[in-house]
Amino acid sequence: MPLSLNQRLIESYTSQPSRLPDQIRKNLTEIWGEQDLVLYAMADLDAELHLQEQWVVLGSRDLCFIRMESSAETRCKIPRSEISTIHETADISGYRWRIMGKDKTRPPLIEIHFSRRQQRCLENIRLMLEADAPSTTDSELADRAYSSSLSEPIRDAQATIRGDQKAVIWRLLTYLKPYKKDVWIGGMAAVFLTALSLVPPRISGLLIDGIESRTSTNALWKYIGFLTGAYILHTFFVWVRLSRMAYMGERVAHDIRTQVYAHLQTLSLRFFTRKQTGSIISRCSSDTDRLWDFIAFGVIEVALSVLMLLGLGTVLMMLDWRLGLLLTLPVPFILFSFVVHGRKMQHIYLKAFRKWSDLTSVLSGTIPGIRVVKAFHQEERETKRFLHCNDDCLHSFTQVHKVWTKFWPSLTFCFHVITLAVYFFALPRLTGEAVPAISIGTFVTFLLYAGMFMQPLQTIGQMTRMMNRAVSSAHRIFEILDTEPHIPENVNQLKIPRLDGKIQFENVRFSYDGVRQVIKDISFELQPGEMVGLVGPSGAGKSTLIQLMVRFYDPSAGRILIDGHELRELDMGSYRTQVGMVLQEPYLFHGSIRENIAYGMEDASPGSIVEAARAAHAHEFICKLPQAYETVIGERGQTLSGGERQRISIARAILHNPRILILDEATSNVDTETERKIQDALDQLISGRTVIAIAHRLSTLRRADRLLVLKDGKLVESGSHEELLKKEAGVFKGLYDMQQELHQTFVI
Amino acid sequence: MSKPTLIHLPDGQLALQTEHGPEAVQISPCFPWTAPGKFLSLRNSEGEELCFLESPEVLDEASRKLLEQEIAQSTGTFLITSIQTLKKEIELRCWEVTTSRGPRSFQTELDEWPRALPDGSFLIEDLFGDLYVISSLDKLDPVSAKLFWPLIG
Repeated sequence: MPLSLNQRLIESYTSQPSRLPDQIRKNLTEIWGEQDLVLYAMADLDAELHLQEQWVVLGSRDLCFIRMESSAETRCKIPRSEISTIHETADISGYRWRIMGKDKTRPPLIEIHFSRRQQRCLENIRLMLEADAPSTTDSELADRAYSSSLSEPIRDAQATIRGDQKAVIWRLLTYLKPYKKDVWIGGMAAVFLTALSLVPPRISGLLIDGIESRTSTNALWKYIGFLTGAYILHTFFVWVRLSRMAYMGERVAHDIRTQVYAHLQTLSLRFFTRKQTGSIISRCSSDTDRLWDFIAFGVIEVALSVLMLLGLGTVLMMLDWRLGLLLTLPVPFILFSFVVHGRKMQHIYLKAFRKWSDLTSVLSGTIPGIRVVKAFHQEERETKRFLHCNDDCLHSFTQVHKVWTKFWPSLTFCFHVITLAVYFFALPRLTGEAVPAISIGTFVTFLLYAGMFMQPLQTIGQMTRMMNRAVSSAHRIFEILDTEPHIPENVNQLKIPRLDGKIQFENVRFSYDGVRQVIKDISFELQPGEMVGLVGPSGAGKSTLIQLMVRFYDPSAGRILIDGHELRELDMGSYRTQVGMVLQEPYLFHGSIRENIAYGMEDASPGSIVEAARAAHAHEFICKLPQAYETVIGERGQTLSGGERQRISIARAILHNPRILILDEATSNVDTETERKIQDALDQLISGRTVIAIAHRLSTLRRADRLLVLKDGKLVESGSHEELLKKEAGVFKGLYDMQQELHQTFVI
Repeated sequence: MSKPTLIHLPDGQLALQTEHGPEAVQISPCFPWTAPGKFLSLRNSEGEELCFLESPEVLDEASRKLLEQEIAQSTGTFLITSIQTLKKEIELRCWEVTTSRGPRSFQTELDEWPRALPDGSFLIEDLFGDLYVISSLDKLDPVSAKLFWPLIG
């Protein structure tokens, strides 16, 4: 059976089996009789923490532990019914499991050790055991669970697998398809200009020989004429080649950029949380730029250099094979020296890059945090730290320069030696002391051709580096293009023109990393027009619940229903236009206030924008700005205060007139006065809609019809503000009392 | 205040004697690299700190032994003794090494450089979060040292 991408990643990178070995599968019947294979994982450390192949296999009735040793395998079978709990100890670089039986006063049934690499797979088994989940399954599902859990970190770091450099180049070249004509014209121009480059030295030689043999002036002028023609044609073909290829390269880069950006819009939040913003931006900008360089010039340059070398070699051998050999024989050695030099440079350049990375991390750490540096009066210390890194960089780059500045003059000297050798062997033949004689013209032609050898050799020498850079950029771009949206959309999706706003959560579970459950079996129902407050300590899962509600992520288990329809079946465009969100950190785009309020509603009338701003208590401060609604706010709205930014985002939500409104800590970052204004604005906003609000200050949720209290991903309490306060040992009561106490302390 | 006492529960877990009886604890070393074996936070299964030890010296002999065993177990890493290959790939640096625990292949991100620790050793974290230590450049064979040299600051 062909291996899946995940299995190939495992085999390529982890040197551990990509699936449960067949030998164990065969023996399973002997070990546990007839039962389904549910899940399996590798526990890769023995009791002494040495690497060892051991398998933990979960069946529908039993859990098996099998240790693979050269001569035999050790087996241990534990009925699932005998397992009570698993005690996990997280070590600094691994885990220990003690699988406990029903009698907890007895030693564990078995102790298992494994590295962090195996954790996801083993966690699947633990979850299955704890949830006492379905005990029959398809063994292919077990294979998939194992391979996807194990390969996920590798897949996250790199979407594709190694060894397919050619495939990447071919894929890149497919982008040239729409520009076949340009490729042909540019390519042919390049071939012609290469051929034409060989003409002037030959004509110059003939001219010199003509002068020496006192050929008629007319004949000599003919040579000059040919020379002129060759130069004009050469210039013409240079222009054709450069312009065609540059325009085409730019268009290809444009196509790739458009495709990447459009694809980015389809990707889920999971992708954006996994990748750094800078990395995504550089893929759309500098990587596509690098590809432009490669497509426009790189491919042709390399091809031409090879062509030029072949052309030069042939012409030289045809002119005089003895002298020709002098020039062509050293070529393989020179190319080899490029390879050796390249490797050496790569080694010391990596060191320099390491130092450079230290330098940039000092910069990226201190410049954004310059206020802290100044507040703690650490300018001198930071300057010294930078100086130290800068000195290190200087030292490393000096090493780099030492190597290349020695190599290139040495190479030039080699060429000089070759030229001298040409003189040495040619001189007796020029003076007639040796045979066969050679004309001065031929000799000059030789010297001119010899001077042309260096450049194509250099280009070929740098080919590997250029190719690697281009492939690396292409890989990074294709990684985005190959990433499938984590939130797949069905073909026939349901569009609900106007939502009622009923929301149901049914046994919803969710995990960001597939390991740690953030939402644990939550069920509740919200009626249309109801306002519900979500409360709980930090990390309880409140924001995650909201992200599931707007389908930034899909639940790992259970389902979410909107007006009785499963959220997965709804058309996201139609659904999200009816959901409004006011977040703790409102995001404003670079642009005018008008554009920000009307974001997503380009046809909103000025009157409706003002009305929304008035309702959000934003109109007053907007009018005081120099250009009022047309004032351009800086990047992320930095020119406005936190409260002002928040009121603009509320105005945006009001303008959208959503049926479901989500308020995520909308007033937590502002002072009391601003909070009052925002609260007034929110009061305008919430009437007649289903509202889900998260608030740090519990008193602000008094208006809520109901409160849902979350703790450690579980729904632990629900009821009205008053009802929950009556529960003496309740989580909400505890949180509320704590806040009241803090408030009183502050008042005192 | 009485000395904290550590025992082993029947299931093998380390436990702290509290006024309510023994409670299973996990050790969280606050400074695993700069002050190994000191400043230890002992936490229960809920993650709450039951006891903070600046040094194991405050414990009685038996408890200290148990603690040291647990520290040895919980702070163990892969000690790299030689590097066979170190290749750069797209977005990844691929290592094939021999460790004190056996041969191992692992990957790091390209900008995940080995971290110099105060004792002169180097710490490497792979894509999965497993930790690898190289005790010093001098203790590596010449080939391994040559491969590793460019990666250290």
